[in-house]
Amino acid sequence: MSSPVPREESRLLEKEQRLIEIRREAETLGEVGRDGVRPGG
Amino acid sequence: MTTTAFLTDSRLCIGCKACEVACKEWNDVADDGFHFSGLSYDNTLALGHSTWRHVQFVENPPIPGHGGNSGDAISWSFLSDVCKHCANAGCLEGCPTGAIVRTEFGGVFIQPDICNGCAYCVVTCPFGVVQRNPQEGRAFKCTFCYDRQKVGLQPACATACPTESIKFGELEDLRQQARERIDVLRDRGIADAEIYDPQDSSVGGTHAIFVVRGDPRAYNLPPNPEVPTVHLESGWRAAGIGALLMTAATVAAFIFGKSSRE
Repeated sequence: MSSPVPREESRLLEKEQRLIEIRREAETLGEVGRDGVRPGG
Repeated sequence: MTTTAFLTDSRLCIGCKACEVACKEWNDVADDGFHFSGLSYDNTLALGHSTWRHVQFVENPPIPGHGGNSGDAISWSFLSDVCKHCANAGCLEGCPTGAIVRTEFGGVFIQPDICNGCAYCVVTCPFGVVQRNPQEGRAFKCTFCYDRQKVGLQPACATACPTESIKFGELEDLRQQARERIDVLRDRGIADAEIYDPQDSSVGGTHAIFVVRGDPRAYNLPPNPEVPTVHLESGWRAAGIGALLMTAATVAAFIFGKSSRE
C-alpha cells in the first residue's frame, strides 16, 4: 500500500520536524540563560 | 524578489550549537570527526567543507559584567559564524566555471554539479569560509538554505536557534534591527557593542550581519575584508609598465648593439 504523502516529501517533513526537536532540546539550555547566567559564567 | 540576510547577535547566543546541528541535519552534511581540540569547548574550530555554521567560543578575561558573574573565572562570548554572502563576493568573481552564482535572494550559492574543484574560491574568499572536501575534491560552504528559501521557509539554523540569536529576514529590515539593538545595548551600559557589516570595504557589505562586543577580530571578523580583484587594476598596470620597459630595453639593445659593432 502506497503512502498518501510522497516519499521525498515525507522525508522533508521528517527533517523539518527534526529541526523543531533540535530547537526544543536547545531551549533547555536557554532556560539557564534567562536569568543572565550563561554556560561558563 | 526579497533580498534576504542573517542577523547574528553574539549577545543572545548561548553556545548551544543547535544551529550547527540543524544545518547538518537539513543539508545532510557529514560530521567533522570526533576530536577533542582542547580549545575551550570548541571542537569544530572553524568553518569548512563540513561545517557551514560554526559557534565560536571566545574567552574573555575575568571582568565582572563582561558576560560573566565572577571576578575569578573567565567568561565566554559566543557567536555563530557563517558564510557572509558578500555583496561583492571574491569566490564568485574567482570561479572560472560559473559554478558559483548569485541567487535571487542575494545569497552566494555553489552549484555542486558544476564545481570542478579548482579551489580558486578557497583562496579568493576574504573570510576563509570556502573549503574543498579533500575526499571528493569539490568546494562547499553555506547554501543560505536556498532550497528552503525557494519554498518560503527560513534557513535551518535560524529555525533551530532557541534564543533568536540568529535572525533571518529582509536585508534592510535586519540592518535597521541591528542599529536598534546597538542602541539598546549601549543604553544598558555595553558601550563597546558594534555592528559588523563592512559596507565601506571592497566586499560592499554582507548578507550576514553580526552584533558583537569589542574588537570584531576576536570573532574572526576582519575589520577591512578585501576582495582580491580590487588589486587587478594595479596588477595589470604594473605588468603593462614592466612590458613597456622590457620592450624599450630590447629595442635599445638592438640599436646600440648594432651601432657599437659598426
